[in-house]
Amino acid sequence: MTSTETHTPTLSGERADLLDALAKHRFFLRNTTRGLTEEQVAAAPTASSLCLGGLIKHVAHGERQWVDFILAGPSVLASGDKDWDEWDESDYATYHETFRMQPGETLAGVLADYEQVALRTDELLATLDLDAGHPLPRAPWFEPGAHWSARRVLLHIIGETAQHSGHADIIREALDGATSMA
Amino acid sequence: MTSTETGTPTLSGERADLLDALGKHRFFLRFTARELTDEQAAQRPTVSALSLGGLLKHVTDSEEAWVRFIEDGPDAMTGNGKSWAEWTEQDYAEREKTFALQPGETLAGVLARYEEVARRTDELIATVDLDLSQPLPEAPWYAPGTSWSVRRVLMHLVAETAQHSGHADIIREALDGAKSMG
Repeated sequence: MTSTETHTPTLSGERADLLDALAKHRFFLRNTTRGLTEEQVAAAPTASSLCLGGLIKHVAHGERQWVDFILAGPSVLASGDKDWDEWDESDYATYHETFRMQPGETLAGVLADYEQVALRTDELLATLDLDAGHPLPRAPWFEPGAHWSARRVLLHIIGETAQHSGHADIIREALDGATSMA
Repeated sequence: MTSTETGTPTLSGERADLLDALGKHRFFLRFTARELTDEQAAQRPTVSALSLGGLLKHVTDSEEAWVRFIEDGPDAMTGNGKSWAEWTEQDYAEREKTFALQPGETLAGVLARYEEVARRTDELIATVDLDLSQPLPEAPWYAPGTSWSVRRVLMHLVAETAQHSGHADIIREALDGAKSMG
């Protein structure tokens, strides 16, 4: 394993591009919380029930799980021993709680966890076989029989981070008028 | 050039993954405009100045500009013969209009144009040299001296589409309560 201090400059081509895109979009997401209080990052000021702290928790959790999928296959993705197509209402209720800031959780703690998740992904990216893949787990939102390479998972993490970053842009603008883009 | 009817199944590895990710995130964006009237598509129901119709136009224009970058180089990107460094206030005012539905523009027309631009990008992905690297155009929002490979541009398109799709999720929910995700 390449050390975290030196791996970035030595990566070439596709790996460097994936690393750069991941870093950029993680930054956009984190940057929506710049200068905010704990109350603000737990607030849901739009038509959506989402808050900024919960979004970052959700994206960090998603990235960790997708990297587990790259390493170990589909069994690690759904929670417990159930596939998503077996989830009941209480499973979904538990899931939705992960989008909220819980008592004792802080923005600093959430960001530190996200940093750890990102570091692990970036380290793996240096050596991963990007073409190796696994079948996706059964879920109402995946095509039956679909198979994703490690590369496709990383593109998904980029897309997921960016989409939630879009949610975060509007939540931040609703909180105090700050805009992310010109 | 591979035909659009047969291109997808014959693509391998990285090209197929890029095509799949782009297709998926374009779908998420279009999905936020499902069953809306032209009036709804032009509305700006959040704190942001964005409408769904305007977002679709902007993402279409942006994808088209990045394809010009890939095919004709950084100088072709703005589409008006000037580099961004040379843009006047009037050029920026013209660009602002692309973020809103203008009189006579319809959601159907905007979606048809998006489809057309997407088809051309997808055809390009089938054969383009993904490693071809070019300097980014001079612009206030790019670090000077940065070069992007075609692959990096395509990752950016995935993310840009996804980020605007996140904006669109919240705008749609503010319009009529419809959610894109569970």
